[in-house]
Formats: sequence, C-alpha cells, structure tokens
Amino acid sequence: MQRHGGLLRRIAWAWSRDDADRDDVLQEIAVQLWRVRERIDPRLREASFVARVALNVAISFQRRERRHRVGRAAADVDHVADASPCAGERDDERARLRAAIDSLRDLDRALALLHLEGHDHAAIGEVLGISAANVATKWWRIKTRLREQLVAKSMEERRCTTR
Amino acid sequence: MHDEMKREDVFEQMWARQAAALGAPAATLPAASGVRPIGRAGQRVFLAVRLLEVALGAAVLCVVLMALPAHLDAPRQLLVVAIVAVLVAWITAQCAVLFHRALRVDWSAPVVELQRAIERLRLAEYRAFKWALLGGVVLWLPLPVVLLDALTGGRLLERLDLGWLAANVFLGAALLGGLHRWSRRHVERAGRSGRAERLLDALSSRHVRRAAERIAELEQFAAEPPAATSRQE
Repeated sequence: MQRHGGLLRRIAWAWSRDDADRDDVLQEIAVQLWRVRERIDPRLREASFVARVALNVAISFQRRERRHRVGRAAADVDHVADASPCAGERDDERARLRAAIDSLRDLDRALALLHLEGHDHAAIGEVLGISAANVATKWWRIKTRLREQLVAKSMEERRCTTR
Repeated sequence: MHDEMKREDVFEQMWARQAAALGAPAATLPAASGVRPIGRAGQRVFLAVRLLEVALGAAVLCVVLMALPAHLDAPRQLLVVAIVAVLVAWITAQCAVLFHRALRVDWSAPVVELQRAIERLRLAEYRAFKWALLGGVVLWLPLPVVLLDALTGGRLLERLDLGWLAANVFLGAALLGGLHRWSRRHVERAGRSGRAERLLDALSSRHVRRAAERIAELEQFAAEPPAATSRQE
C-alpha cells in the first residue's frame, strides 16, 4: 500500500466525485488487497497486480454508488489540497483533466490512466486482460478523442477571452 | 504531425503536473479512519441474504414435497402441488447459482474478466428477482395452502374450488401486467427509495437491459481489433 500509495490515490481520484467517495474507494481497495494477498500471480509485476485489484474495486464501486449521487449537494465536490501560489491555475487545469477523464468510459479510462502512469502496453494488457496490440489500438483512439476534446475546449476558451 | 504530437503531450504533461497533488495523502486521508465500510459490509450482506434465500427455499421445497404423496390420488391437486414444487425448486436453484457465483468473484482477476463476472452476477440476480416476482403471482395463494396442508396434515386444498384458485392466479397476472405498465412510466423518476427503485427496475426490466448492455460493451472492449486497423505506437 505504501509503495503504490500514489497510484492507488490517483485511481481512487479518477473514479470518485468527492473526498468521501475517495476515502471509501481507498478503504475498499485496501480490504480487497489484503484479502487477495495470498493469490498474487508470480508472473505479474507487483504494480500490475495492485493496479488490477484497485481498478476492479474502483470501477465496481462507481457503478454501485452511481445511483446515490443523484441529488447530492453541489457543494460536496472533488477537493485536492494545493497551497502553491499557482493554485488557481492548477485548479483550472485539474478541472479540465477531470472533464477529460470523466468523458471516457470505465475501461478506456483505466487504459488511459495506466498509460499515463507509465505502464507499457504489455503490462496494461495484463492488468485489463486484453492483448498488447489491442491496447495500442485503443490508446490511439482514446488519444485522438482526448486531443479533439482539449482542442475544442481551448478554442472555446480563446473565443471567450477575445469577446 | 509535430503540432499533433505537441497537443498529445499536453494531456500527458497535465497529468504529470497534477499527479503529485492527486496522489498526495493529504487530499484523501483525513477522514479515512472514520468512514463507513460500505463495500465490505455490502458484500457480506449480499452473500448472507443469498444464503438465507437458499436455506429458506430448500426448507419450503422439503415441506412442499412432504405434501406431494397426500395428493397422489387426486390429479388436479397433484398438478397444483407439482407446479408449486417446480417453481420453488427453480427459484431456489437460481438463488444457489447466485450464491455460488458471488463466492467465486476474484478481485485479482484481469479487469475485463472480473467486470464481466460481476455483470453476469448482476444479470443472474435481476433474473432471479424477476422470476421470484413472476412466480409470486402463481404461488401467492397455492403455496400457503400447500404448506398448511403439509404442516397440519389437513386437506385444505381439497376444499378449495380450483376455478377460484385459477381466478386468483389470473388476478395476480393482471396485477403484474398493470404494475409493469406503471413501472415503465415511472422508472425514470428521480429521488426514489432503494427498495422502490429495485422493484421498479425489476418490473420494467431496465436493469436487465443495462447489465446486458454492459456485458456487450465489455465484449466489444475485449474483442481484438481487425489487423488492418490495428496501429502500433
């Protein structure tokens, strides 16, 4: 947990809407990791095994909890502590990142997140249970979609500032 | 091409810049010690409820089968008891399958495999619930009568007019049809309680459709791309 704490928290962030959700996801991940510790596959890298369990828990949690989010107070939102002087800019960037990630379906999001975390295609394939070639194809499509989305967003922002 | 690569990098750079903050313990841990263990309790409750259903179903089935020999001489009564026995056995078997599948869920399996297993489990749960509802329409009157006969040794089923029994089954079926139409109309309404939502979703078959769609989505994700469109980085 300590060795992969950053990865686990980023997975929890990507599949939760607020701090309470994130805590629940992290706690659930810890419980499941403890339960399956004996079943660790020696052919898998430790990071891949941890990512598998974490993604399985996060995706299932989100699907289970989705209905409870309807009607939740607007103030109960995602919060990440940031005391740096550029906190405002970082918040905007984080909001854009959140929007881009939220636009992806669960498995596409998992694939993108693993790629951004620096896993190679073979490792991503091991975690998700698909081939490395399939990972490459899907990552290319996801990248294209994200790129289009970011370009559209920046053009929209530029239009707003020139008005 | 260079411009495209630059844009692509923007997302990765954004992630790299935010990664440290997103992975910081301060962002998530203050309340971690006091949170409600939803998932842990949920899984245990799910297994406990399924086990209870199997035990209850098996007990009811045993009692119904005890009543069977007493009606061997009357074909009409035998038919009623046999239908009750078959339906109870069917619903109990579905609950047993559900319990078995829930026990076998492996959280360390590849993501696509586990999500598929969970969606199939959900589908089985929804179908079991739907069959229990449908079966309830047929069983709601004969089952208590048969159980009472078996437990008290009385001949209550003999005294009941089969026409009246059939009319009650038809009434139940009509009620179910009406509920189905009503549920289709109100299924999208927000702010319902958990139980009402479960009943509405089961009656309108909405969550069966959702689970089936999700399984199709997983199959599509896991499907190998055609060789011509496959692109390596």
